[in-house]
Amino acid sequence: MTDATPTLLTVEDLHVAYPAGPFWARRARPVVRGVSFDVREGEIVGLIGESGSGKSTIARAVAGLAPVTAGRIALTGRVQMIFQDPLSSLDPMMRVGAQIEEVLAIHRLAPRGGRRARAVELLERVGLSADLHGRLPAALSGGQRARVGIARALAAEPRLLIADEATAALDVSVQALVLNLLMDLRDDLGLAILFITHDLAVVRILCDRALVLHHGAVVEAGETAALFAAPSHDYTRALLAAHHPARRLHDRT
Amino acid sequence: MTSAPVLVLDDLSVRFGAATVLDGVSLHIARGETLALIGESGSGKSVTALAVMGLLRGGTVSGGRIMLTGRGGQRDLARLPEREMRRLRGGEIAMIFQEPMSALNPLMRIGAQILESLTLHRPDLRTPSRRREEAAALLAQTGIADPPRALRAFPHELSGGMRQRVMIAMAFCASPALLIADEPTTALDAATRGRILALIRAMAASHGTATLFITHDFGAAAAVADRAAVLYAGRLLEDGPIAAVLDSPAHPYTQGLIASLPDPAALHPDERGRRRLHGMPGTVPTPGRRPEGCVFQPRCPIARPACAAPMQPGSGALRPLPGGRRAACLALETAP
Ligand SMILES: Nc1ncnc2c1ncn2[C@@H]1O[C@H](COP(=O)(O)OP(=O)(O)OP(=O)(O)O)[C@@H](O)[C@H]1O
Ligand code: SF4
Ligand SMILES: [Mg+2]
Repeated sequence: MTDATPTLLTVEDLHVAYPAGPFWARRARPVVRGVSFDVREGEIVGLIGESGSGKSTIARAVAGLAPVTAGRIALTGRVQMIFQDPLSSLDPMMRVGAQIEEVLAIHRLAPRGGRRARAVELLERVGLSADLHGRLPAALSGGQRARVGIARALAAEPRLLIADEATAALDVSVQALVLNLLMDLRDDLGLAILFITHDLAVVRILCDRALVLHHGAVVEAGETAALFAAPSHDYTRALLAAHHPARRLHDRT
Repeated sequence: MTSAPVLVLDDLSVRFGAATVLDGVSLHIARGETLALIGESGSGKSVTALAVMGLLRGGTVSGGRIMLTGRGGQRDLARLPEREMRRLRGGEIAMIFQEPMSALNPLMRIGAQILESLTLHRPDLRTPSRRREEAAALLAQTGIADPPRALRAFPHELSGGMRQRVMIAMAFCASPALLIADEPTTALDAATRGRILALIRAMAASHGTATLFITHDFGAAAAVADRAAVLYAGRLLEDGPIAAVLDSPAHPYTQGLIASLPDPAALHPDERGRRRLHGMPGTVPTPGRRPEGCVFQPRCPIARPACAAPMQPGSGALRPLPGGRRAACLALETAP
C-alpha cells in the first residue's frame, strides 16, 4: 500500500448517540464517542470488540443509517453493505437473477439487454453456477444465499463493502469459501472492505489493519500482524485471551 | 462400572414425508459423559434432538430405537406414548436451546417460571417456601450474582448470558439423566460463551447427567465434550474421543471440515500463490438428492469407483478403527 493509494472512506471524530429514556425525559445515550479511521482502496480493515462496543453502529453510520451527532464521514464512490442473514436482505418472492438485475437497473449500470448477461457474470464471480439465476432464495443453501447477497452488493459496483458479521452464521466450510472470495475481490478489483466480526482468527487471516473498539471508542489500531503480536492496550490483551481458538484442546475453560 | 449408557440411539432413521432425513444413526452416551454431535447446517442435528424428545412435528421415526436408561428403568422413547414423554421432558430429559427467549415466557417473572418447573418435577419439595429456597439455590449454582433480584426479573430484563444461566438452572432442577443442548452458546459473544460452556460442563458433572451437545462450533465442542460424533447429510460418518476427532480426523469429510477452520497458521497458496483458506468443493446434498453409495462420495478427494456403488444394508454404518474410533469410509483400514 503506497501513499498514492486513494482513500475511499475517511471517518473523523465520529459521535453517534441513540435516544434513550421515556419521551418526557429523553436523553441521548452515546454509543460511538470520537472514532477516527480511514480505509484505502484494496484494503480490508477489521472492526473488533465485544458485543455492544459500537461496531455495527459505526457501520450503519457510514451507510447513512445511524443518528450521527458530530464528526465527519467522507466517502468516495458507492458503498454497499452485506449482512449476517442474507435472507433478510433478499426478497423471498423474487428470483435470484431478477434481484441482481434490479440493482443494475436502479443504478443504470447495464443496458436492459445486457442485464441478464451481467447478472450471470456476477453469479459466476462469486462462484455460483449460472443456473441458479432462475431460483428463489428459499431453494438455495445458506452458503449460496450468502454469495448471492455478495453478488447483489457487487452489482452496484461499490468501491467499499461493509460486511457486518457477514460470515458469522455460516458453516466453516462455507465461511472458508466466502472469506477466500472477499480476499480475491480485494486483490483483483481493489475493493475496500470494512469487516466487522468478533472472530479474531478471521481478522488475522483477512484484515490488513484492525481497530479495537471498547465502549464506543478506538482503544488500539494498527496493522493486524503487529496488533496481534504485541497488543499494547489492556483491553486488547483481554479480548485476545478470552478468544479460545477452535483447535486448541488443552486450554479447557 | 458396567451400567448401561443413559442414551443409546440404535440405527435411528427419521423421515419427513418421502425424504429420509436421518439414516441409520447409532450412538451412545454414558452417565456424566458429554457427546458433541457436530455437523453443518441441515445435517440433521436438530432432528436427532427432536426425535429423542419426541417432538418431531410432521416427521416420524421410520426405523431403529431410542433407548433411555434413567430412574424409571430402560425405555424405548421411539415407542413411548406422548403422555409419558411429557412427564420425561423437563424432568429426566432436560433441554437448552440457542435462543432462551423462545423457551421462556416473556410475560412471567423468572421466579414464577422456575417454581412452575419445580412444582411439576420436584414432588419432594412439598411446600412453596421450600421451592422458593431451591429456586434461589439453583440460580446461585449457575453463578447469578443476585438470585432474589433475578427471580423478580422478567426475561427481557436479563442479558443473553443471564437468560442462558436461567435456562441452565431450570434444566438441572430435577437432576436430569439426559441433557440435550442444541447450539446453546451460538448467540453469545466469545467471553460469555466460554463461561456458559464451563458452567454446563460443571453442572453436568455434579449431577452425573449425560449430555448430547449439538453444535457446528468446533471450539465449543472442544471445550465441553468427551467424545464427538460427526453427522453429514443424515448419516454419522465418524465418532471417537474428542481430541482424536479434532486433532487427527479419520474420515475425509471431517478432515476437510477441520482444514476449513480459519486458522492463520494453516493457509495454503491458491493457483496464483496467494494465501487462502482450504475450501471443500461442492455442496451438501439435500435429503431427496443423496447419492446411493457413500453420501460424501461426490465431494470426496479420495473417492474410488466402489464408493459410488449402492450400499448393502448396514454397510453405511461406522466401522471400528484402532484407538476406540469409528468411521464410515471404505478407504480406511479397520481395526483387527
Ligand atoms: N419439519 C420439517 N419438515 C421437513 N423437513 C425438515 C423438517 N425439519 C427439518 N427438516 C429437514 O431435515 C434436515 C435436517 O434438519 P436439521 O434441522 O436437523 O438440521 P441441523 O443439523 O439442525 O441444521 P442447523 O445447523 O441449520 O440447525 C434438513 O434437510 C431439513 O430441511
Ligand atoms: S467411502 Fe469412499 S467416497 Fe466415502 S469418504 Fe470414504 S473414500 Fe471417500
Ligand atoms: Mg439445528
